[in-house]
Parts: sequence; C-alpha cells; structure tokens
Amino acid sequence: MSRFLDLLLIREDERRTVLYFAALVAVLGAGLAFGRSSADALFFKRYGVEHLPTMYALLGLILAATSITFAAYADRLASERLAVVVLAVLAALIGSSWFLIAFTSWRAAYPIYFLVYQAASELLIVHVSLYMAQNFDALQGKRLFPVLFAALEGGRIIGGILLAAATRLIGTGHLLLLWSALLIIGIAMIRRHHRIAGSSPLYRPPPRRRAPVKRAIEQIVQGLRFTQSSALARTQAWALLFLVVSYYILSYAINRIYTDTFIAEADLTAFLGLVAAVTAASAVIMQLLLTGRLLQRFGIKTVNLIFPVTHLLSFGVLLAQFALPAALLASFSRDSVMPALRNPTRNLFFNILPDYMQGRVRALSLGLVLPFGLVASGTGLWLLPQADPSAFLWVGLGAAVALLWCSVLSNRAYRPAILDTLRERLFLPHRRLDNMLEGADRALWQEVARGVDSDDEDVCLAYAQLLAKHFPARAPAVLAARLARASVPLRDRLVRLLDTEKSAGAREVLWRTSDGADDHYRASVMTQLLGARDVRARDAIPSLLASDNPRLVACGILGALRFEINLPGVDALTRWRALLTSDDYKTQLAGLCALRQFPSPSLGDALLPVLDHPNVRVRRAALEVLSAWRDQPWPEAQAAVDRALASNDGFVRAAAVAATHVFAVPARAQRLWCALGDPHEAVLRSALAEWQREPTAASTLAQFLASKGGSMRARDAALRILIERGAPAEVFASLARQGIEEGHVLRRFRVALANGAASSAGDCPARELLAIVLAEREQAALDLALQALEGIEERAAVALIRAGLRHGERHHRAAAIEVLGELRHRVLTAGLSELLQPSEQAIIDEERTKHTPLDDILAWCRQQGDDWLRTCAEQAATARR
Amino acid sequence: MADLFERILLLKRTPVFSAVMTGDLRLVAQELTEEAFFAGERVFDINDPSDRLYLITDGRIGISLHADPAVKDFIATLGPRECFGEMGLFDDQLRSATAHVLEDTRLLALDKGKLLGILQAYPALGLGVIRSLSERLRATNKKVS
Repeated sequence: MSRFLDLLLIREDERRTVLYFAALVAVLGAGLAFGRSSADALFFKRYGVEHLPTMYALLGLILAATSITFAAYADRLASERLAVVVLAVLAALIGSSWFLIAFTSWRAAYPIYFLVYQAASELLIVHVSLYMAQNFDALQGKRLFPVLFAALEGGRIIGGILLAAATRLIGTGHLLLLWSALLIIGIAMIRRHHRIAGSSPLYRPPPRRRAPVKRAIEQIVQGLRFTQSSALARTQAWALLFLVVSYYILSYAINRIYTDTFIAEADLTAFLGLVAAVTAASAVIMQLLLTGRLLQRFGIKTVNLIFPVTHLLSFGVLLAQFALPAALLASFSRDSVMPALRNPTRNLFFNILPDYMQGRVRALSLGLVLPFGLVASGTGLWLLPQADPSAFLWVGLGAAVALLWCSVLSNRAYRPAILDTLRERLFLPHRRLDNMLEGADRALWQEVARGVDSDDEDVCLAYAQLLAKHFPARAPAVLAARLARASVPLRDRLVRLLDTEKSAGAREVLWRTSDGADDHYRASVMTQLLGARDVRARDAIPSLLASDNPRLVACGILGALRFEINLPGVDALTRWRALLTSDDYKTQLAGLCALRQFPSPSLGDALLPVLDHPNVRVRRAALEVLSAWRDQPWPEAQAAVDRALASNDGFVRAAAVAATHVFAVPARAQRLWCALGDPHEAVLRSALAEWQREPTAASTLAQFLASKGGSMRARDAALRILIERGAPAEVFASLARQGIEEGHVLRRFRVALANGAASSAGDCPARELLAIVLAEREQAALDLALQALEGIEERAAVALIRAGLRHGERHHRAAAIEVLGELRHRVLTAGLSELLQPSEQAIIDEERTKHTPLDDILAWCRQQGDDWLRTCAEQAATARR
Repeated sequence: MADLFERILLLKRTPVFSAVMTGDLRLVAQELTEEAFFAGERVFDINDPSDRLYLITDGRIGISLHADPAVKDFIATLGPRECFGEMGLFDDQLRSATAHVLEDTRLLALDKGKLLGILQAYPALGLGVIRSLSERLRATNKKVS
C-alpha cells in the first residue's frame, strides 16, 4: 500500500487527507453515474426523448442562474460547510423526485429530475474542485488532483457497473434512493473528516462585499472584454460555443437511437450504465496512457485538433447510418475522447492566459457561453424537423466544422498568447526601452529632465546621457541648470555631453557657466569650445598659454594648433612635449588629454615611455591617446600594449584593448577574442566596441566560435556581436547544434563525476569544484545554443525563452520550454528541450555499468579553450596524484 | 592554488554567493583575509558597525540576539563552512547579533568596501549576488507561506 501511495506521489503527511478525498469523490462519482443513467432512462422512456430540445433550452437558463449564484456566494462559507449544504439540498431534491415518481402520476416529475441531475452534475464538479483547492496548495494540487479526478472517474465506473445489476433488482425509479443514500454517505464523510481535521486549511473568509451577484456578472462582462484583447480567449470562447451546440445535438441524436433500440426501461438503464462505465474507463485509460504521450510527441496544437476531428466524424457516421453502432462510436468520442484529450488541452490553453484573465474568461464560459450554447442548441433542435434526423445532424455537422475551425484559430493564437503572457509574467517590455524614447512625448522628456535633476550623481549622469542622445535640442537648458550644483567630476562629464559643434545654445551655456569658475572647470569648458572652433575661445588662447595651470596650458596648445595660430616666442609643440615629459603626473595628464583630442604623431617618442607609466591614470590616458591614433601603424607600442593587457587594473586593460590596432589583424583578433572573456565590465565594453570596428568581425568570430576556444563569457559576447552583425543561417544553426552537443557531453561528465567517477576519485575540493564548474558550463552551453537560435528565429521570442529559463519559478520555466517547442527549427529545439528537462536517471543507470574514467573527463576538460575549466581540471588531476 | 579552490568552495556554499559563477568568485576569494579568535572572545557585538562577512574555516561560533553582548543565549551555533555577518555587506545597519567564539576559531573575512569595489567593476558578479539573495528570499517566502 505504502509503495503504491509513493508511486502516486502521495506523501506520508498527506495520506489521510488524500484517502478521504479519494473516497469522497468516488462516492460522489458513483452517485453521478446512478443519477445520469436514471435521469436519462426515466426521461426518455416516461416523458419522451422528443422533449430533449426544450430541456436543453431550460437547462441553459438554469445553469446561467446557478453558476452566477454559486460564483457570488461560494466563498461565503468554508467549502466543507457549503458542500454539506449542496449535498443535503440535492439529496432532498432527489428524495422528493423519487417520492413524486414512485407515489404520484405527476408527469412533470421526470423533466424536473432530469434538470436536477444536469444542473447538479455541473455544480458538483465545480464545487469539488473548489473544495479540493481549499485543502491542497497549488504544488500539492499539481501532484494530487489527477489522482483525485481519477478516483472520481473510478467511482463513475463502479457506479455504472453496479447500476446494471441494481436496476434489474429494484427498478429504475428506485435508483434515485440509492443516489440519495450515496449523497447522505458523502455528508457523513465530510462531517466526520472535518470534526477530526478541522476546517479547510486554505479557506479565507472574504471581506463582506456588497452586491455579490452584481460582482459575479461584472466578472463575466470583464471576461467578454478580454475576448476583444486576447485572440486566444476569443477563439476559445467561440470554440466552446460551437462545442456546446454540436455536443448537445450529438447527445440528442445518440439518445434517440438508444431509446429506440432499447424498448424496456430497465434494459435502457442498464445499457446506459454500462456505456457510462466503459466510456469512463476508456477515458481514464487514455488519460493515463495516451494523453501525456501524445502531448509530448505531437504537441498541444495537434492534440487540440483530435477531438474536433472525431467529433466531426461522429456526425459523418451518424449521417451515414442513424443506428446503434454509429451512436456507440459517437458516445466514445463524446464521453472518452473529450474528457481524455479535449479537456486537458483546453486547460493547458487556459493556463497560458495571464492569471488575471483566467478567472474571468472561465466565468464567461460558465456563466454565458455554456448557457447560451445550450439555449441555442435547444431552440435550434426545437425548430428543426424531428422526423428526419439528417436535418439536425447537418446543423450539428456545421457546428462541428466551426469548432474545428475555431480550434485551428486557437492554435494560431497560441504562440503569440504564450509569448505575451511570459513577457508579462517576467515584466519585460514589448519594445526595447531605447526605442521607446524615439518619438517620445512631452511627458517622457520631462521625466528624463527630472532624472537629470536628481541629487544622486550617477542617476543624473545616466539620465543626462539619455537626454543628450535623444533630445539634443533640449539638453543645453536642462544641463545648464544641473551644472550649477554638480561636483567637479560630474561637471566634467556633463560638459562633454553637450553638442557644442552643432548647438550655439550649448556653447552659450558653457560660456555662461565658466564665468568666475575654477581653473579645472574652465579647462574642461575651453577644451569643448576649442574643439568646436568657437571664435570667442580663439581669442582666449594667449591667456591660456600664459597660465600656470597645466590643463589651461594644454587647452591653449590645443587651440593654437587647431586654429594654426603662431604666437611670438611660443612653440606649441615644444610646450606640449614639456608637458608630456614632466615629472608631475597631473601635468602629464593635461598633455595627454590634449594629445587625445589633437593627434600629433611627431610626439610619439614622448608618448611611448608613458604607456608603461607607474601611475594608473597616466598609463590609462596614454593608452587612450594611442587608441585615438588609429591611422598610425605603431609597432613600437606593441610590447607596451601587451603589458597593459596583462595589467591587474581593469581600466588599464580596457584602454589597452582599445589600442590593439597597433597589432596586425590576426594578432589583434586573438587579443580581442581574449578580451571578450574578461569579467571586467570596462574591458568587455571596450572589446565589443573594437569588434564593431572590425570589418571582418562576422567571419572571424564565427571561426572562433566554431573552434570552441575561449571562455563561455567570451563565446557569449562573440555570439551577441555575430547576431548584431548578421551571418548566414547555417552558421547559427551549426553553433546551436554545437552548444547542444557540448551540453550533452558536459551533463554526462558532470553526472559521471558525481556518481561513477567520483567513487574512484576520493573527496577533494578541486574535484568538487570541477563538478560545479561542469554544471556551470552545461548551463552556459545551453544558453549559448539558445542564443544562437536568435540568429535564425524571432529574436524577441528567443530572448523571452532565455529570460523564462533563467527565472527561478517553475511555471515560467515550463512556459519558456513550451514557447521553445513553438519555434521553427524543430530538430534543434527538440535537442534543447531534452537538455532542459533533466533526465539524468538514464545516464546514472548507464554509469553504473560503464564508468566514465575520471582521466577521460580530466583530459577532455584540459583540451578545452576555457581557462578556468582547464585550471580546475589541472588541479583535480594534481590532487588525484 | 589549493587554498584558492577551498576558498571558492566556501564562498559558493554561502547564501550570498551561491549563484555566482565560480570563475567570478576567484576575484572575491583573493580579497578574503584570515583572522583567528580564541574561545571566549567575541567576533563582534550587537550594535557594532557592520562591515564584513565571515566564513568559518575551523572552530565554532555562537550567535546571540540578546541586547547584552555578554549574555550567551544562542539562537544558532555555526561550524566550519558556514558564514555569518552577511547582512552587513549590503545594508548600513548595525550588527543585529553578537558572535561568540565557542572554541578556537579561524575565520576568513570579506571586507564590505572591497566587495563593493569588486561589484562595481564586475557587474556579472553583482548579478550573481542578486540572484543568490533572490533565491534565498524565494525560499524564505515558501517557508513562510
């Protein structure tokens, strides 16, 4: 027993509750089987199957009223108390029906009982779901609800089988007493369980709201509105409508055949019970053995079409032959295929709607679409001629075709809906934020201006950069106001954001704010103005050259050279060289700053020694000068740049990366490739910028990526550039394939290390770390493969998948995998899905018989281009020795 | 090198760095400094400035929330491979507990200033830290609910 419960994923502490619910729903299921067969048989034989259309129309109205009332008041009581009330009322109604049927000749008792059964069967299923939801949390629900619904079906099967015997013993009319008795047993079970276990743990009494019925109707109206905004909700609502219409027409046809075939009431009841048992059993078997496999093998969209097709075929068969075999086939489609395939698929479709939409769309289905469909099918059947079944069968066939078409439309709406929902759940924007600023309105630019005004200087600078890029005409006025209270470093950076070359307003701001300012700020301003060839700035050159401040002198030199002014007794180049060779690093920095803006290769001999300057700021500034001299071959600087690339300071490395043009193309590419793997943000940015300059970047990077050299970070960055630059689809497909293969190898080695190889390796930190690194690389390889798909699939969709997979929540991950299955490159996505859904048991089992030697793993790791992986493998090998 | 590997493993096991890539943890491991305490000493007192995280390599530490730092009313006892003081890395609050040394203990300390410097230069590491903290928050939420 215990092993069986383990198999059903029922935990020790929840066994008592699960067994109680399983027993309860089985009793209720058996009761429903009794109710269905007895209600159908009594109505068909004693009242007349020809009255079914009227019953459908009435049932539609009753269901609309009961579902709205239930939705309005269901949460007022704890679900176990409401269950007792519902079962007691139902038992009383059935008991009264039995009394009327057994002791009076009132014919209306039959249609009343028929309607009681139909409404009760809908209501009971809804309430049982609510009751279970108040006793199991969401995660328990996923594990246990299938088991409990299987118990419900089990009850129906047993009820159907018992019915055949019971009806012969006591007659169809007295079956109502048995159903009543089962309901009373249900009440006793509920009361006993909750006397011991207390109230439903997840029930929270809602705050008292006014007009609950009005709120329930509002929910339906909101659901209706959602059908305008969501194509999936719309097509699902239409599909349900056509399903209801065709379903009840089909039921009418089937019931007419059964009633005509079985003359005796007891025979009909027994037959209906048997059919219910067989179809319920086949539904359970299909659910257990087929549904999941079909979904996995063919996907939700194909499975979504199976029932509409069998439904359509049912009408075809009935049109061809209005007889028992055709009715049996149609019953199978209606009572087995529909619950086994259509209902789970519909739930999966619903689940991808945003959470706020799901409840309202369900309310729309129950409160409006289902009743309306019933009224429509009842009225239609009532209006159509009854003598010739083909008349209503053709209408049903039309509705079934419409259902199939709506299912096709639902399939088409599935992908955009799942993408939208995932995007909403992950709080990702529809458009890139940068693009949102294009054509932005007044409110948005005012928001940016408010950001510039922030007291936090990092925030201010970030907004100022946005302002300068997207609203250059407005930038001078906003920045001028902020400059007045900016710190020295911030002032320098804000000044550089002003477009002084094009904007006279920007130049005016600089002049105005430099009045009475300190030398440092004046130097920044004059550099900008001279760079923009401002005429007033030219007049200030003599005074700048005469200054004591090296930054102002550098400005003067810059101005003199830019305007080609020869001042008597002043040799600008000599002054400049003096700045660069000074012992004072601040003076050197001033000279380098000017040199960056006005490249003078004749000063190269003065620059070369500074490239190895011990002061990090000077060294960085010198490298920045070198990076600005792109049209100069500079082989003498190669050694200095290489030394800078190996510096401990990330900013020096970043500046050195920008100066790699001093190398020939292959050597430069090699260095830029390594830089892509540098974890320092500045180095990575610099490397990305350099690759953007490379005309052959796409082909070079594709080669690097294909060779699997470099760290995962480098490969990730390289792939990003490759996607931006564009490359043939085969390149991306091949990289995705390579990532998948690498992922599989890494997984095998990781599992082997944790299981087989681990036992022979002993316990050491290096091996433990290697296992972690292999797991990290496995994830990275997977992400790389996904990223490669961005080059051949819709980028936004792949980006969403990656975001969903990185998210900790399981349902986001599941949705991401679902979207992955929607992409075009099926072979690649299948390989990725396999990696994403951990199935390590097979590898573990294989490892038990065929150990992967640790030496093989270490040898493979040591062959890889990833430095860190190699280091870990080396260390693990050393520790082993 | 072996020491570096052990340090990285120690860091990887802490809730703050569990989601940071091991390659990036090299940067943090290099900044760890060794400290030693004798039994009976206190690593820090409640309401002390909170400026570093500690990883226990050897020994045992008792954590007390009592307002009087001398009182040894432990809510937790920590041993090798466990960490404490991590909250101080990211907020500017004072220490919320006292750390008593229960037996001779060796610790590795990570200075808040150094960590913030690394985080500024290496945003990927910062993202890993955020992911770790978010995983911890999620786990706590699950426990509470």
